[in-house]
Amino acid sequence: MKNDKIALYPGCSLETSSSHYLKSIEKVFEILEIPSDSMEEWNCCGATSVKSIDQRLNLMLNLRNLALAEEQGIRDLVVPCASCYHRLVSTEYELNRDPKLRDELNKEAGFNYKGEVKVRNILDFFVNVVGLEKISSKVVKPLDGMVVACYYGCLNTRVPKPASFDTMEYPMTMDKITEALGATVIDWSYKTECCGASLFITVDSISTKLVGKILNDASLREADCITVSCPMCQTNLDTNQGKVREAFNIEKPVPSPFITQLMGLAFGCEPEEVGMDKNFEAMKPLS
Amino acid sequence: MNNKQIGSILVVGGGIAGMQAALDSAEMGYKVYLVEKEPSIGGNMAKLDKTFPTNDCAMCMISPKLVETGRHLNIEIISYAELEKLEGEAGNFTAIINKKARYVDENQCNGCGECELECPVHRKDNFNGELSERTAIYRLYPQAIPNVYTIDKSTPEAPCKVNCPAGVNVQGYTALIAKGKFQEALNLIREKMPFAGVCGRVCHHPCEDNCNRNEIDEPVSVRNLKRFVADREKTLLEKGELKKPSLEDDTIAKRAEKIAVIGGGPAGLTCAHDLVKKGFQVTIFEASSKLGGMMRTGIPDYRLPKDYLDYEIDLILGKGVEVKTNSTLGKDFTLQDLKDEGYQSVFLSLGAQKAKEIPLEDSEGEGIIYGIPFLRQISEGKKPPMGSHVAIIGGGNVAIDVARSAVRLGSKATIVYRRTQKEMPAHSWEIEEALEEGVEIRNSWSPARIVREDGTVKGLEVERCVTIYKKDGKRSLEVDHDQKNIVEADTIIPATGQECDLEGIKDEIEVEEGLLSSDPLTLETSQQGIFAGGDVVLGPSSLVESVAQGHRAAESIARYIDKEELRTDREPVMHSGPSAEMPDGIDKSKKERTHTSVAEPEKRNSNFEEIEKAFTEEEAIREAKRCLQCASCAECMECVRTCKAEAIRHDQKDERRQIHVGAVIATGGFTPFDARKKPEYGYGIYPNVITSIQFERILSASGPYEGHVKRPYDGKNPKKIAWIQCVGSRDVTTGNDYCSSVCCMYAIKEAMIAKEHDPEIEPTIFYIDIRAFGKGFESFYEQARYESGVRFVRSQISSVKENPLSRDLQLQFIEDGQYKEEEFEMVVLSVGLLANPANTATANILDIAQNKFGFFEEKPLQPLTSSKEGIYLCGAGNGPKDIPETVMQGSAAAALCSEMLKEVRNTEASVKEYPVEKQVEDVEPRIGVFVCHCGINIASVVDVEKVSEYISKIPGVVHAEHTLYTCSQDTQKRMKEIIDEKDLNRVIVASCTPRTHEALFQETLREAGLNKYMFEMTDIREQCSWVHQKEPQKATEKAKSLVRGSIGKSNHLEPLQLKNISINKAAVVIGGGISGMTASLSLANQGFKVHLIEKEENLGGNMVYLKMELDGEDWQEFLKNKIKEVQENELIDVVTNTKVKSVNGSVGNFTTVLSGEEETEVKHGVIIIASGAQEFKPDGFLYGKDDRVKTQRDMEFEIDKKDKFGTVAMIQCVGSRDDKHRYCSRVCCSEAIKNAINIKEKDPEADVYILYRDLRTYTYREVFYRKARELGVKFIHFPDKEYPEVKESDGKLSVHVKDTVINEGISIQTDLVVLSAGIVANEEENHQLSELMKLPLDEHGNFMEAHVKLRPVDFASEGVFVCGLAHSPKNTEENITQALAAAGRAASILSKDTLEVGGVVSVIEEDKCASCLTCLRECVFDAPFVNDKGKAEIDPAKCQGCGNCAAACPAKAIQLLTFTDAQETALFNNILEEDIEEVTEVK
Repeated sequence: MKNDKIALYPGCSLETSSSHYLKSIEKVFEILEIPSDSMEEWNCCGATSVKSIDQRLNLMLNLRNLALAEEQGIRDLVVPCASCYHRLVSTEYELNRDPKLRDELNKEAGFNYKGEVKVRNILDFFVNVVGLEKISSKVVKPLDGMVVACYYGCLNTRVPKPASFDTMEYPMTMDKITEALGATVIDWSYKTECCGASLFITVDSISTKLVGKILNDASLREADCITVSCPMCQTNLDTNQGKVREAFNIEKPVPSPFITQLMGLAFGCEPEEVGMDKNFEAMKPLS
Repeated sequence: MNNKQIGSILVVGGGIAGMQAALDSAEMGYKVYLVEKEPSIGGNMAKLDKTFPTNDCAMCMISPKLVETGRHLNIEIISYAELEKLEGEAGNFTAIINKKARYVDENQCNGCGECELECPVHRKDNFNGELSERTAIYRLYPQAIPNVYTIDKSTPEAPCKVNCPAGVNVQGYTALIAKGKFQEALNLIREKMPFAGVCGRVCHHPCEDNCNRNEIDEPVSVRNLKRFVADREKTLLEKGELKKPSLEDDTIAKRAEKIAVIGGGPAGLTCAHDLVKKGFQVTIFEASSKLGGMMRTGIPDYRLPKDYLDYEIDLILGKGVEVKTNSTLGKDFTLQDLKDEGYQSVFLSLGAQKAKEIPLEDSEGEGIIYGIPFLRQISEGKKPPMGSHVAIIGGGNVAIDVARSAVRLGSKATIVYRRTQKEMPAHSWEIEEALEEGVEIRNSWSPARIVREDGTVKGLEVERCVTIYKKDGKRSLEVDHDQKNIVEADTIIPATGQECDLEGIKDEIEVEEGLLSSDPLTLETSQQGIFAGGDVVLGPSSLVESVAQGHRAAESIARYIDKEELRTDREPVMHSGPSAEMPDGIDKSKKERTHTSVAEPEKRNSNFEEIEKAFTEEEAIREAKRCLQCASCAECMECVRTCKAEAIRHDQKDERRQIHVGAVIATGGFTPFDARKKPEYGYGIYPNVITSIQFERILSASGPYEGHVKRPYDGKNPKKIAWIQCVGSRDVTTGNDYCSSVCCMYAIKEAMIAKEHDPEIEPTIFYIDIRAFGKGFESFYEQARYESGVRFVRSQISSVKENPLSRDLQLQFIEDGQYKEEEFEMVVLSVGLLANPANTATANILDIAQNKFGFFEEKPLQPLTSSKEGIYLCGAGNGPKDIPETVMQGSAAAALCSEMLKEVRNTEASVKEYPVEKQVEDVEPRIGVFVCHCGINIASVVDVEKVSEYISKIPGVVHAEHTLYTCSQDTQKRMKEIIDEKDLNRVIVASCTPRTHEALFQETLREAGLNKYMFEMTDIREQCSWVHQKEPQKATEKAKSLVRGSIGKSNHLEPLQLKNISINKAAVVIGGGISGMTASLSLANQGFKVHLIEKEENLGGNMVYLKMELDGEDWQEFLKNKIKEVQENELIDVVTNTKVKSVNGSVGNFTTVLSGEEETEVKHGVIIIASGAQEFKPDGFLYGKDDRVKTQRDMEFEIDKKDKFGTVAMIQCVGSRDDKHRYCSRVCCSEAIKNAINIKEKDPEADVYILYRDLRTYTYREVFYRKARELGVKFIHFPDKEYPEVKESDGKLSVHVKDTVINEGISIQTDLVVLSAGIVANEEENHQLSELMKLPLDEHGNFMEAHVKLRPVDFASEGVFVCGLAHSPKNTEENITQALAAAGRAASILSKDTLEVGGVVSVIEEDKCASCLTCLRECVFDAPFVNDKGKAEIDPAKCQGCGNCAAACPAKAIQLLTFTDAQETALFNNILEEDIEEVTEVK
């Protein structure tokens, strides 16, 4: 069977805390005429703790994901979450680099993963599979006059191997998408700085400081919003702004919509259709 | 070799490497072709401000070299040229050189720069790191050689010009408008468009549609710019502020031939205009009463007021065109009539003035008027017959014009059109305006019937149109007869198209589909000599298209009359095609398009006043400045108008040259790393992050900020500046995992110079290792670090962030074990040196190999030899390197070529002949003074104009002037002319230092037929502008005094004659190590006799202790072969166990006494010192006390003998960089790495530690440093002043070291300790040689060359050269290179037959000499001797003119020529005396 399908790997966050991300992706996919089904029977990518504790188990977890995707005829497995992407793409790389290991793990877990499914970051997918031309052709309400800071976070592009789909330290894919929507993007210093999402619950003093720096830079550069593609970053930048802004003396809220939410708005969707009602900091309505 | 050898050499690349190679080759007797791709030579060195470690000005050093290269008789510079092909083989190559069109005649241009002042096109100046702009006509830098301008012109042309049917030079006039040259702009437009004002109003402007600015925001408002300049002229004329342009042109030769133009529309008028400009007698026959065609009758006044049209028609008619109105072809006259009347050719431009009928019943008669006559009647001032509600059929521009006119006449207007609004052929902006004015448009309705009641029109019945998609996907428009509607109207105006009225011509000229047919290229019809164009051929078309046809017809008619071929070299019919892309490196920020003001709809829809206003001057300039100047040169021809020398050649073409050469030297140079590839550092994103190359330009007086340290964003003087090292070097992520070798030093230099410019600057250098490995580098580094206040932080920066408010830059780093964040006002990225991308093309053409980094590859153990025979390498093209090494390689490559071509030396080179010197003795002094601006170096402080004016009044001075750069080639040329013109017999240049420039000016004097000693130089830069920067007035006064002094002295100048002495063509080489042997072999291979003197029993020197190279190449085998080669060479006389006892004589004729087993004497012309150095004997670390402590040298051979090593601890910098040895020994880091790798490869279980301070694995050695780390060698960094300790207890050896990373001491139990012992000079021997030959030594006991940068193997004393370890520590391949360089320099003397001596030397008046021997003791050059009369005498060949003897002689018996007592007294008297009238004594 030839793998020719496109499917999402939603990961845990898109089904729970970031369900508005999934909603906006589904809506945008619909407008772009991309089948938006999630792959079936996916399992946890192991990003939270497994990867640090048992690397082999981590490979195994994602081997299962990849093997199932392959069985389901998937060609492009689109991964919106930066952590999931990191785990899946690293597994793909490791297993394809080392066929012996792949055979060994396949045998152990009873799969037959051959390496025919391609793991794609959602930004990579939009720019390199869908294409900017297609995206801009769907724009009916251009984001004219909106100034956007594109925030990639620390994980999206920092996959040392295989080579990143974008420039590791100063990526531009999200900027290109945002420009295609008609908005103005800014150059700024915090595109790939860590927001401290992993310490959001445990040591919030650190994450407050890190988020503060990000919001501060974007706000001083007069960005109307910071657009994001990682669900953890979005939660971290969005949910705690009151406290952070107070600490950093930032007057105006800095909404942090997902890139797919901005796409939806530019495509003419109502805010609720792309889950904007779930964002803590509201976007000012588009004129 | 079968082929005949050729005694010329091709040098590819005109940087400092190429220049040196060219100069040495030329001096050795070869003809040199120096090919440079840039407009001028100089390469990267010309961009530098100062050079390390002496902080000499780079330009001051390179400038004389540039001039020397430029004026060398046997060097031909072929600049702005590229090598295209090389064929043949070593000894006989044929090269094809493509010399690119520079659009300036090199022989005519004198570099005056006037063109630059007028050129309206600006481009980022690459030479200045894009921090400033240059014009499209430019010169790389003021001192450039050749000193000529070049025009930067793109092919294809700009899209606006390419897409203009009439070929109007849009970019040209836009550029002129931006510069405020409005009239020039209008003139340029008129060359192709006689109706600038009309076109500026009604053109459909394909130029704007194709404008590259569309990619950024909106196109430049080109049409309105054109209108602006046209209107401006008319307005100024009317106001009387402009003189009426003279229409008669006397320069046009009148011709008798008569030509008839039938139809006075745009095509006809243009044709008539062009022909009358060619001198023909032209008559226009026009059917109506006025000229203008559709311009007059088809365009309503609210778009084109007719006085503008009349004005432009009058300008054409004023040139002598005859007009016959109310003359209709076929009615009033025929073609035959014209022939009978003597018209030799006819242009038919009848237009398309007839309305197309509509296919409806009853479409004539009352209530119906067609659009064309409707508009014509309005244009004639009549009100057409119409009611209060008109229905217009059609969707084109005519329909819109009709509707808008009808509205203005008080009627309601409804347009009915079959298709949608988007599909209407009318321009979108016209539709918008019509709607605003109240016109109703009913789209998708098709007229079906005219509704009449009692014959009176009541309306138009319309039926719905629907678009049907057929099965094959094609669309078709169909009428739905069931959907009907009636548009109420009392007048129907069909406006569905125009036709030609061909009644009067159709029987004579071939007609096709209602149009006259003519050849699209020539416009010739079926009748010879009859041409047709414009709407009558094209159908209704635009103004620009008609004008284009008019030009085409005129060209054909002129050719026809002159019986020339009609078709050759014609402008293509379709005036579109590829056009220039948006240029790189320009400001691409959005800039709002300037809009003209348009009257409000309610104010304009009731009258015919023009609705749109023209730009104001400010608006026009602002708008014109939005132009991206896509083609660079705009061909506005301002340069042509300005150039007094008539040097501009806009039609110049590339030129191919074939040259024959015996050998090739490829330089190639480097290109700085593009810092955009490391976006985390923010270059190209944050304005205050710049590259080191940009910083060099910032520091430079001729740079973008004239030497003031400013930052680009706001011009603020930054105080805190950070340097980030290794940007694009030592970096696998960019593929450049080698060390660029010069960045540490240039960063230190830049930091120090920045502080000199502004003491408040606090420079910080962030680095991994400071690689100060070259001669004098370490002490320079120490000076920066410990004395000059440069802060060094050993922490690599991972990213740069910007403070969005202050635009300062935030860095995070570790200093003293602490994490820190700090803001800097500017960040300088120390970018690495990359192989020039052009190297690949060069390598392919030359068929030579490149290494994986793109640099040219040298053969293993054969420095500078490429993979192809007969092609040699030098400079940064074969790897990143510093200037002295580059210069050495230049000389060395010349030597290698000379070895190959020795048989054909002096076969291609020519000999210089000077004019006979004119008699100057006993002649009244006639002095010429040239006061130099030195750019701004002098002129910004000293008022050179005043100095020159003052000087001109001093008696004896017959000429005084001030010049921008007196050393420039054009000024030199001028100087010669003036010497001749004003019969000067003395010349004074008041500029910089005679050290660098005197020889140059003296050469000019010789070329002008003056004895070169009739020259005097006054230094007003070092002595005035530099030292008295803050007191310009006093500096000016001082300059006056100094020049006054020179004038006093010059009155006493006397001509001196040089003597030719013969040269003994043999060399003595001292030292039989690898350097001495290499130098000897090279000289012998060039055909010269060599005496190689070795103090030991055997040849080989230190190399016997060297087993292999880092990459494993076997040096011992190499050495064995080399010794054999030397011993077997018949021209080399090897003398071992021998030392030099004495050296006498001077360059060309030395006598050296050798003391071996017996004393011998040899005679020779040159000396090369290659006396080597030795390994430092460690005096601590238990060395010599415990045999487990060794040096690297011992270790190298021991690795073979062992299989297991256990733990090995290597300690770096033993006898280097310590209190006693304040220099880096350069080789020890690589030695340690080499041994460590060899140990690990033999015994992977061995634990190897390298304890170091800075790992100095420069260039490709870095790759091995990485390899060592990958093999598991452990590197521990210890603090500068805390050396590790080696201890022994209970038979166990241990090393204690402080690790700076963990900031704690650690102890390593070890089996072996290997000390990286440094290199120390052979002090005793060097001292002895230094005394024998009076040669200087540096503070470390090494021989001190003449100049660290540009004379790295020479001594001040001529004929003596140095190479190898005697000069400074270096690696083997570098020793070999330097030895070749010394051989090259020596050969440039030996290859000549005679030398000129004398000139500025001391002479002794024998009568006064008391034979006290003071002079003999005083002279460091050993020039005085006691002659056979018992008196002191001075050997002019040895005398360097220092004057020590003259000063010391108690009897005042010695005079230094040109510095005689009389001359100097006059000098000082004149300086001290202020009243110029009194002091000037005339000899």
